[in-house]
Parts: sequence; structure tokens; C-alpha cells
Amino acid sequence: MIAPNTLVILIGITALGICCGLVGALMLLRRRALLSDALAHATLPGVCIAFLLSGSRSTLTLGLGALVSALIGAMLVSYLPRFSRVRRDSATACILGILFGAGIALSGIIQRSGPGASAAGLDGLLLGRTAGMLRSEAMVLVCAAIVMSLLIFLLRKELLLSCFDPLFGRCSGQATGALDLLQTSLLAATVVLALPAVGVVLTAALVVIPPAAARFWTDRFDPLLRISAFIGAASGITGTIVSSSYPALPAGPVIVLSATGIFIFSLLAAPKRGMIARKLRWSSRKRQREIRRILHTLLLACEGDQNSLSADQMLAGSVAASPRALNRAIREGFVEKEAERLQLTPLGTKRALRARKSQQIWREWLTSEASIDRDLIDLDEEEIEKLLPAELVRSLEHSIELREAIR
Amino acid sequence: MINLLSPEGWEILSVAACASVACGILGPQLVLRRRAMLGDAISHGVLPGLVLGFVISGSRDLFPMMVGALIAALLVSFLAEWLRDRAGLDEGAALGVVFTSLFAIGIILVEIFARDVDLDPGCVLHGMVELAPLDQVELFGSSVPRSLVPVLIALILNLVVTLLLWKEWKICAFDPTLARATGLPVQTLEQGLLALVALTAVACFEAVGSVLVIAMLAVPATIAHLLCNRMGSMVIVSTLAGFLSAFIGTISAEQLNTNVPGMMATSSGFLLMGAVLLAPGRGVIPRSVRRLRWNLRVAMEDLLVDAQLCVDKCRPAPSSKFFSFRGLATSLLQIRGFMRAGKPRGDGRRIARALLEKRGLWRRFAAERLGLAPDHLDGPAHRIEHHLDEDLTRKIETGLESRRS
Repeated sequence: MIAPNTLVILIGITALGICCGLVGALMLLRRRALLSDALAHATLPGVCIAFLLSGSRSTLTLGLGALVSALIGAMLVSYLPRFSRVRRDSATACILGILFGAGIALSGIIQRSGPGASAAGLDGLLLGRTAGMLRSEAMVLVCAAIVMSLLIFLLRKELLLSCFDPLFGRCSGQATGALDLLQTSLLAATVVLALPAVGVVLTAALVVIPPAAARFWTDRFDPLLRISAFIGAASGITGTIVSSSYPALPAGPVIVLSATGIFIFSLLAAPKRGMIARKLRWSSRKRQREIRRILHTLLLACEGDQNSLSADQMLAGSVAASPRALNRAIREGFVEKEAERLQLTPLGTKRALRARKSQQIWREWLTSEASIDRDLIDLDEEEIEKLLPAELVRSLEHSIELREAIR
Repeated sequence: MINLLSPEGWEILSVAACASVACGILGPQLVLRRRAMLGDAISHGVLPGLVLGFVISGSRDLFPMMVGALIAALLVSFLAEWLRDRAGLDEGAALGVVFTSLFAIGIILVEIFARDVDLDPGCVLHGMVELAPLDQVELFGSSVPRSLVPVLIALILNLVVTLLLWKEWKICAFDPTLARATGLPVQTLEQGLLALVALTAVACFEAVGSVLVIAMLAVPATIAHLLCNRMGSMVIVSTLAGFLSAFIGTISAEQLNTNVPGMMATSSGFLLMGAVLLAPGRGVIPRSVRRLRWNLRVAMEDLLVDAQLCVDKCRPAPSSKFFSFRGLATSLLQIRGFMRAGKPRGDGRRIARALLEKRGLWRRFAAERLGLAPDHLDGPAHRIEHHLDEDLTRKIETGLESRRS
């Protein structure tokens, strides 16, 4: 049974996770993940100035101040590298340090300006307090999530272009400046919305970690956004539930750590890009290579009028194959083993011949083609037709035949 | 509150200055390696190390906390690099994932183990440099603030290591491939740099807080990067900028009655703004002045040429509005005596003739050597005539001559 208060927090945090996941994915693709950290720190002077000017501690005033100063920070970060030779990373770090320092100085002024004006409300910003989320705040977060998803859905094509090929976007008449501003404003708005819930540093975490985790699961734009938003929401829900059952734990860090947990899980278990999948792929490739070497050696032995080889000779010699690969070759029916002698089966002969031929073609291609695209070369690939166009393969085969005929 | 003339004021200033200079020495290394955000990442990521060091040793001694923080800092860099290289994650994202996660762990550790000890977030952020004079220790026979000791050690260590590893770090910063090829232990050197950054961060935490470490590792070095072209001068300028922002920050904190580290970061921000605007040669203002002067020169030359053409063809001189760029150029020409009543005079006539010659030369060159169509000759010639100096003119002339002969 969930208490109504927890339900409010749950809804709010879910919406927040969606916002952070969406914006974070855009930032990840634009290689500006750490901008969120800088913006989160840059909100502090705005909050202090808003408080000093208005004297009220209402969320709206302070939030407006935070938004303005985050936007100024974002503009400084993007214009400094353009007007001077400050690099992007230095600009981010400098703006973060300077604006946060200015905020600390301002909050010092507030703290010491009088007993009535203690910065109690401002301290909450640094670490956040998820448990104090109000119904109205949750509503704002839900609205923000809906607006943001709609905006990104409608501008999908433009955003895609601005992430991957801004130059082409500009050439084809896109308002890149406006798009840039839009994305930065989305980030600033998200950061400002997240601040009261999770605090300065952990806001950056919510923007950075979900898309980084989502990146392991997909190589495409739309799924990346969707998965990232999902992971943001999921970590929000998990974190809130865990911290509501262990009241000693503060909710913000728990939410971040559940995002980290999802990140680690993705890092390990994602198909294709995950660590385990990579390891498996790598070892299966290695085994295939060893099998091919075994078959090749046996084929050479066959051609040298030696029908079979001893298993010890095979494993100890220069073939560099493991007993596992040999067993695998036997199991798959490429090699026959009779009384410690190894012999190629017809199937094995066929495969060995095919492997040899592909390697010959690869070599031919490497030596004959002047412009080599190194990414394409893959001497391990037996099905050469998958990588090279059929016509090219035929002409390469032809030139090999020619050379052999001459010889 | 802080009186700079009193001994307390000097002590506060010395702690602040030592801290920012210690960071200022290391900053250029990070900025040159394009890893300026590392300062931020490390100063957040050391939190769990600090807390664990505190919990395991059970005391507020600096040493165990320092060891814990060092381990955590190395963990940050190691994990971030592993994620970047092995998992193919973007560098910034890798760093972000690692340090924010560690920070979250740190906060939870604080909540679990160190609730009763006041690890006040405010204290971690802006330190307690104002209280430095209250807590004195004996050092070499004289009484100094306790928080000066770790900062001073960090400063000396950074200075010594930077001077010792000067050449090695330089190669690693500018050409890591060359460094690896010459057999330098690049990995170890970089790890050493990170360890120093972590050590400096922790040493400065107690005195001046993490805000200052973040700002002072990045800002003075960026200022130096704007002003200098060599690593030696960069380190010196960065150190000076660090010291200067400590000085201004302390004084202005006294004036505004606020905390010192915040004002130090703010004043370093003003210094950075000054450097961006005024850096000789490449600041925003020198560049726009240069562009303005060039545009003015082009306008004046164009005016002279136009006027000369009008004189040659016996047409009335064109007039231009007084309050316009051309009008400004006209009055400048008249003041210099190059032009009177719309007609080039003296040197003005000579300049106009020379420009017309250059224009003709470029037209010929473009037509004969570049093969441009006749209707494409005027525009480029009109623009390029201003850029041709004596040397280039002679070269083009001889080029055209040799072609003809």
C-alpha cells in the first residue's frame, strides 16, 4: 500500500526522470554531457539574486532566477570558445567554478545581512529534499515532461540533424542557432526543475547516467531517447520506493544509485555493446580463427600426401590452437579423430578451401586496391561477399587465377 | 571583518593565496590536456573516500581522510578512462557517470556513518578560511594557522613535482604518442598528475572548501591559456592569476562582508573576463579594433580610388553622408591631407594610382593565370587590391612577365 504522499513523489520523480532522460540523451549525442553539471552549479547566483531582489522565498521567484542564471551560464559556455581560444571543457569548468563561487559569495551576503534572512531555503538546493515534494510541484513536473516529450517528438528530425550533422543542417537552411538555444533552454529548465528534488550535483547525475546507460542498448536516435527516458523514470521509481522503505536513506542519492545500478547492468548485459556480449563475441571469434588454422594445417598436410596428423603435433606446433578449439572442430564435424590421428572430413575440406580462398581474395584486394578503407579489412571474415561487392570479388578472383596461371 | 593590516588578515590571505597558487600550478596541466572538468569531478568524487577514511580511522585527522580521498580520486580517473576506452562511452559522459555516482555513495555514507559528526555541506563547500587565525600550531618556531600546513605542503609538493617532471609532463600534454614512443611511462605520469590534483583538492578542502578548488584549478589556467603561447609562461601567469584572485577576493570579501572563497572565485571570474576582452592580439577588444581599423583603411582606399577615377574621367566627385562609415573615412582623408574637395592630393594621388595599378595587375593575373571569366574579374580584384603588399606585387609582376616571355 502506497501512502498518498509517496504517490505524489513517485509521480513527480517519474516525470522528472523522463525529462532528464530525454534532455540528457540529446546532450550525450552532442557531447555536452557535463554541461548539465555546470548549469546545475550556475543556478545558485540566480537563486540568491532573486531572493535578494524580491525578498520572497517562493518557488516561482527562485526558480525564475535559477533559470535565468542557468541560461546565462549556458550562453557563456557556448560563446566563450567562439570568441576566444578557450576550449569547450575549460569554458565549462570555468563557468561552473565562477558562477558557483559567485553564488556562494551571494549566499554569504544573504546569511550575514540579518537574522531574518537566513539562507535556510537556499541550503536545500545543494542537496535537495525529495521527500518534501508538494502536489503542485509534482504537477509542474508532469506538465514539463509532457511538453518536453511533445516538443522533442515534433522537432524530431531537426534535433536528429543538429545532433549528428549540424553543418548539413545549416546548409539545408535550418535555424541551427535557434535549435541550439532550444536544447540549451530545455536543459536549463530540466536542471531548474530537478534542483529542489535532488540537489545540485545529483541533478547532473540524473541527466548524464540514464542516456549513458541507454547508449549500450541501441545505436539509433529514437530508441535512444525512449530507452533513456524509460531508464530515467525507472531509476526514479526504484529510488523512491527504496528510500520510502528505508527512511534513513536520503532519496536523491538513492535515485542516482539506482540509475547507476541500471547503468552497470546495461554495461554488462546489453546485447552487442555490453561487456559480456563483447567478451563472448571476442572469444567466439578467437575460436573460429583457431579452428580455421587447424583446418588449414590439415589441408596442407593432405596436399602434402599426408592423410592425417597426430593431435599432439597439431596442438604443440606453430598452429597456436587450443584443445578446446580442436574439440569444437571435431564436434561440428570438420575433423575426424581416429586413434589420436586427425583427419579432415569432406565438410572440413570444403570449409578449409573456402577460408583459404577468401583469404587469398582479401590479400589480393589489399595489394591491388590503392585506396584501402581500413575499416573494411577483416581477414577473419570467410563470407567475403558480405563485405565486398560481388563484382569486385569476381574481378579479384579473376586476377588470382591469372597470377596462378602465369606461375 | 577581515582587516588586511592586522596579523589575522595576513594569515587569512596567506592561507587563501597558498591554496589558489597550489591549484594554479597544476591547472595548466589539466587545461592543456583538455581535462579541465577533472578538477570538478575529482573534488566531488573524493567524498566517499573522505568519509570512509574518517569512519575507518575514527578521527578527524587529515592523513587517513587524505588516503581515502586519494584512492577515490584515482578510482574516478581509472573508471572514467576504462569506460571511455573499453565501453566506448563519450569522455564527458564517462566522467559524469563516475563522479556523480561516487558523490551519491558519499552522501549515503555520510547519512549512515557520520550523522552525528557535523560534516556540514556549507563547510565542505566554502571552508572556514575566516576562522583560520583562531587555530594556531607551531611550525619552525613560529605560530601559524593550522589550516596553512596542509595547503603549504600541497603548494611545495606541486611546485617541486612540476619542476621535476617539467619535460615529461610537457611531452605528455602536447604529444602523448611521442611520449609513449620515446618510452616514457605515460600512464604512470598521468596517474601521478591525478594523484597530485586529488591531494591538492583534499589539502585545500579544509581551508577553503571545494568551490575554490574547482574554480582555481580551471580559471587561472584558462586565463593563462588566453595570454600565453608557452607552457613556462603559462604556469607563471596561472600562478600569478591565482594569487591575484586570492588577493582581490580576500579584500572584496572584507568589503562586502561575505565569505572569502566565493569572492575569490568571483574575482577570478572578473580576471577571466578581462583576459577574454583584453588579451593582447586575440582578445575580443583588440580584435574588433583591428577589424575596425582595417575596414576604415579599406574604405579610405576605396574612396581615394573612386575619386581618382572620377578625376580621370572628368566626372563630379561622389558625395557621401557625413554621419556614415564613408563619411568618417572622407573626413579622415581630409584631415590627413590626402584629399581635398573630392580630389586626391599629394600622397593621396600616389596611393590611388598604386591601388589602381594593383587592381589592374590582379585582373590580369586572374584572367591569365587563374582563367577567370571576364565578368568575374572585377569583384575579387576590388577586394584583393588592399591586401597586396610590395613583395606580392613584385612576385605577381615577375610571374606574369616570365609567363609572357
